[in-house]
Amino acid sequence: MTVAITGAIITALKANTALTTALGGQYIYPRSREAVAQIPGIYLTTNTETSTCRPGYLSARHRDSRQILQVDVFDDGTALQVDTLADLVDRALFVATLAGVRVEGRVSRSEQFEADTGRHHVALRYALAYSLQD
Amino acid sequence: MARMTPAQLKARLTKAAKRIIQDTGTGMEKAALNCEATAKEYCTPGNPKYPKAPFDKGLLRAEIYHQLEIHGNTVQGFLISPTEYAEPVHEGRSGMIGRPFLLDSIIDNREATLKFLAQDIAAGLEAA
Repeated sequence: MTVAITGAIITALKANTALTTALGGQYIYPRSREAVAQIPGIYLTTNTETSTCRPGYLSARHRDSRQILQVDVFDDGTALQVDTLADLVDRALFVATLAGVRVEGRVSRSEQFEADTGRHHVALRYALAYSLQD
Repeated sequence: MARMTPAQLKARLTKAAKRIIQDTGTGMEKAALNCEATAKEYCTPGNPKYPKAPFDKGLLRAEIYHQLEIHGNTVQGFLISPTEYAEPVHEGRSGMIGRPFLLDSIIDNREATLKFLAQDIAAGLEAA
């Protein structure tokens, strides 16, 4: 996924006042492989990208891609709080207008409690479709 | 041109439907086994799928299995990782990025899965 698309999704999430109010700020970031997630925080990670070249790719360089976007929601409050945040992410992503990107649906949602750190974590995954010009 | 009475046609279609479910099951079994193999590859040291493959002593990899369930007209293939720490590895934690070895193996094998299913369903239709 291009940086521009990830950036557009983060901007769309930050623009959702219901989400940022519940979160207590615009704590929405791309996930860094090494860094420990801040609490509360929403982190975006992209997983597998698959691309199909359109006919005429050699001249037009168009490719249709699919990507799984993982959204991790972390909070050290209650399970209900982190659940509410995850619901708000859901709503924000489905109502967001992202130029050239289609959110095809949610692939999975799992909830975990990290007993050692006392953090609640909801991992959401969405299937995205978009076109790129190389 | 074959001529059939309505009763003969009904019997033939009923038989074909049963056969198709059975053959879809055969295709799903192959597809799920294929996904299982890929998931195990992703949990193997040196595999380039993730910067660090989810492997310590090999328990996570060894315990991945698949399962086929057929209920009525529904055919389902499951890819299962029953290891205690599989979920945090797959979904990630606040201090560790997720490595979704099951989901990735299913997505990466989308075309192969469709091919397995198509082959066995086509064989079933021809035989019916």
